[in-house]
Amino acid sequence: MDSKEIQVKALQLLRQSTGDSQATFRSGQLEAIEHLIERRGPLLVVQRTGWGKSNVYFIAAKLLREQQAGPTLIISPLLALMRNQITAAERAGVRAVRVTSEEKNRDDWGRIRDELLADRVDVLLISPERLGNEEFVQTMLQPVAARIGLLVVDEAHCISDWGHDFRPDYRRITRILKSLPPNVRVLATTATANDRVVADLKSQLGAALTVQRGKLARASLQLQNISLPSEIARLAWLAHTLPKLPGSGVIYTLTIRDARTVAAWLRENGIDAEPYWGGLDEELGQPGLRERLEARLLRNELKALVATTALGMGFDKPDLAFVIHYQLPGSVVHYYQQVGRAGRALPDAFAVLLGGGGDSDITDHFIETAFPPRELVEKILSQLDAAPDGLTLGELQIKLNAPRGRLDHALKLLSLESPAPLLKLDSHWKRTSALLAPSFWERVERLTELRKREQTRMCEYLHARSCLMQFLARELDEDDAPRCGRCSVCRGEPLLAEQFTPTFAERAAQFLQRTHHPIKPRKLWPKDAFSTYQFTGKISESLRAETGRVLAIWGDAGWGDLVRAGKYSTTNRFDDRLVAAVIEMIHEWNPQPQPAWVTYVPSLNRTTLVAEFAERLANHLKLPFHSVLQKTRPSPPQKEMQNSFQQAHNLDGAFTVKPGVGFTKPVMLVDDMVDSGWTFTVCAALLRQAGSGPVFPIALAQTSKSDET
Amino acid sequence: MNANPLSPATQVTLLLCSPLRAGRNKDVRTLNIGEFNELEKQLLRLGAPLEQLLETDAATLLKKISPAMDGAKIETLLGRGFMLSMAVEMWQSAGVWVTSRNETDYPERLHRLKQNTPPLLYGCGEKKLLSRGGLAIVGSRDVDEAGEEFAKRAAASAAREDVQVVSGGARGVDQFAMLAALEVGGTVVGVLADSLLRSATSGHAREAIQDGRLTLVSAFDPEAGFNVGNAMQRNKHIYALADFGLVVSSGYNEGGTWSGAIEQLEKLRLTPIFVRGGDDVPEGNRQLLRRDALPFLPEPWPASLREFFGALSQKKVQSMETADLFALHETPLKYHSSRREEALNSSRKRKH
Repeated sequence: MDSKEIQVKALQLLRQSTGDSQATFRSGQLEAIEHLIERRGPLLVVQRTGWGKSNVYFIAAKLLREQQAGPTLIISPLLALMRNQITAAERAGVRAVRVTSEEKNRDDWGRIRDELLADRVDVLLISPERLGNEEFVQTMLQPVAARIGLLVVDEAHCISDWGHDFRPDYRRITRILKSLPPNVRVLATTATANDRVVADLKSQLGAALTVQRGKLARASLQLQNISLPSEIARLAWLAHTLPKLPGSGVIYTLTIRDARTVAAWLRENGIDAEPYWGGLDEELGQPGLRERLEARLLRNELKALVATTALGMGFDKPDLAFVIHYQLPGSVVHYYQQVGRAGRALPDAFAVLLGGGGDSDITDHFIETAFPPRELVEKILSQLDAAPDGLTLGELQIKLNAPRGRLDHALKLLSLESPAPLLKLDSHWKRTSALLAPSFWERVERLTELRKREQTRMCEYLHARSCLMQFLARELDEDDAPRCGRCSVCRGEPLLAEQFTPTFAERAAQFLQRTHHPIKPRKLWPKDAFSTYQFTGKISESLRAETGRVLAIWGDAGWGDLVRAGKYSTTNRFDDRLVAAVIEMIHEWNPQPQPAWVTYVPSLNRTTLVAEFAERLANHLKLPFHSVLQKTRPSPPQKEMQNSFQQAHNLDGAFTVKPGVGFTKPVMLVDDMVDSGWTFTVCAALLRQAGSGPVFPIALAQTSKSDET
Repeated sequence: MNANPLSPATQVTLLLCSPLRAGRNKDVRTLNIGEFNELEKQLLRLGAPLEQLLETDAATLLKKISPAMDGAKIETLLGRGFMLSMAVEMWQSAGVWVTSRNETDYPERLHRLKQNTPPLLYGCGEKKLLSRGGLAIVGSRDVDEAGEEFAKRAAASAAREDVQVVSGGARGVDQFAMLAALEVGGTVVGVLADSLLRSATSGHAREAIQDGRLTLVSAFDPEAGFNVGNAMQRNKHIYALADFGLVVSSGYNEGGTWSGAIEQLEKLRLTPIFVRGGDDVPEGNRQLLRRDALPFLPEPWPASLREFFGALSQKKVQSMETADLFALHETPLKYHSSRREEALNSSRKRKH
């Protein structure tokens, strides 16, 4: 195919896929396609979201197929959100197949494999972690791996050790790219890469790498930053301002809990908002909910989605009217990417950053937990050293007092090193002959430092006194960006009023005090944790606790502070206001069948704190109060136990029910703190064994350590 | 940052000769040694280095060598680039390296095999050990107790004198000898016919590999299963990597130990072959001794086995193509055939 022929065919395909017979290529698109077809070496395309990177790789893929080349492989973490692009490609006759890690997709594997083997697939799209799944590689990738005509790596900045975005699975992709022979066509794409990242990509993909870079500024965006330190003020501002904004938008929060709280608050104020996060479908037991919420936002049926960063880059809504950040994101680049979703096809769109106060506590937590501590890594390695046949994750959990998620995370990071000090064979983690290279820790330190600098820059952005768009562009090394003339700094006045009606603030404060959280019952006894109680397997319905309620989050803006004051005061007493709050919570909750008596979880250290509170509660509810549980031996504080096994095992045999107690009616079981919920689970099972009716746990505060997005 | 971990020449060799994790049940047939030798010869004729097959004009090049070679097949094999990097990534993560016979880090000793020099060598552990030579201790899997004890004593004695032990890693004599040498702190090279990947990640080998005292190598795909043909080839590699061979126990007219030793005695003559003698040795041992194999010293052994080998190699095996075997090799030995040397030189010239 000569150059002319490529141009003609490419344009034809573009028009087919857009369904627009007058469509023309955006600047750079055709050049990129030609570069790939003519095999002029690896190509890096740095273009803002919405520029149309998918046009480049789908059209190139189709043209290569017409030249009898093998299929194109696209590796992207954003597959779930590429539906629209795939539909467009199919209009141009591109047969594209997506394989994600979602279970429902698994049923399709056989069918997809047949298609691949029959050479009926032009483009295979996979997520980065698929490459680490041996079963996937063997059954799905091998049929095409020998014929890949073009390899596309999306979000290519993740390849760099200096990227703002560290995704462990990209460590593997980096190595795959490094040993790729020059006769494989490679396209790397990203919306954001500063000079440092580009230099890094050059060293990975070879000096022959061609870089194509577009402009970053977004003409329609109007940037504004508002310093609002308190949670109450931010909620009030949102309730006051949102109804005045045209169109629909996104409100970004750092945590799932905030997404839920903000969405609930907005709904209470008559604003159509829904929370959105990664595990939404599973957590609410509603498959496809995320997709439905996205669709409602696309159709402007929602005023706002209140989302964590799980609402990602592939989400394409050209008329997104605003993006509001409820807290400071971790870096300016993240911020740029997230606001970049607004106003692609609008003359005006707002990007408002709310910040100040304790935002960096949350980002600090993300930075601190991004990598496992040395101590944990050393412990894991020495445990595996002593186990020639390896250990499962469950077995490691028994040997090491560390949260399951942390262990899993550490194992994954270590297994992605090369050479890897450990690897997973048939669900067993085994040591290899390789030692953990010192470069691992050097990288950890460097990335941690980098994250801290990015956090500082984000704070500087919040208080910037120069053009905000220019600030963002310069952060991405576009030094010649002009002043935008549209942001609040350029205009010299706020675009949206920073004030709000005081009644909103009062109501927000009350709202936060009414935000209760469910305590979900545990359903499975951890293996081998309860040898004394002999609890194993599934927790039967007849022993299981009911769903309970917790009044507050430890230290939050509602009741959290008052709970903390009670717990650590010398008076050894929880404030009466907490009794009233719990009673209000119970009325609103209305547990069924209605509890007919009250008891509590005893403690050997603080013998009266919870007992006295539970008794006051019972008196106010006019229910009988009985002390029936006994602590039989001291045990280390539950908060020191780091994973399910340890938490459960720590309680084995620690409680008994006083003999001769025969309360058959439903009961409220009161404790001050709830963390993993194992104390409630064990006490509820013991009460049920002793003949009690259904058990409803009630706690004052939730002290979970992490709340990840 | 590291550059590409593989040179283009090694990439081509892998693309053409390695199954690249595809397993044995695939339609794609890789080039065997003979075909690969022929391809190198054809390219040499055209003055084209191997890596030119990765350039955009590869098709033209393939046309030029077309009647001699199956160009379509080579093109298909060369199209496996992504598969190659997937495989290399997986091997690297497990601590397995790969090199090809055009590389400078490829063991010189294997070039002694001439047209049988394996195009690829996979391994785990220090490459340095591969130039140390040493004593190849081989024997059957089902060895009797006397044989087992002999293998252990011989390996330990050699190791104590800093004579490296080379063996095949199989059950029986191989493993007894290797473990005995490691136990007294010696260095060991295990030349495997199959399952390098599994051996490299097994708990037993881990510490010695980490310490740089054990290197496992294989000319065959790291995930290849057992295969008689590969096991026979592997025998050549064991002797090529050693200075002396010691047969502990051999079947007569059957088994790999027998055919490997006979091949050395009658054809390849890379190392002198010693055989355990005595009254209770298997029939194979007796028969090998009738065919020019050297009887190993009766026990008790002299204080220095090294001197024994040295003296013998001076006297009896001058005709063999072998160096002063137990001298420390300060300058690496050169076994290159002149033809390969030419090919190497011409390809290097092109690169600059």
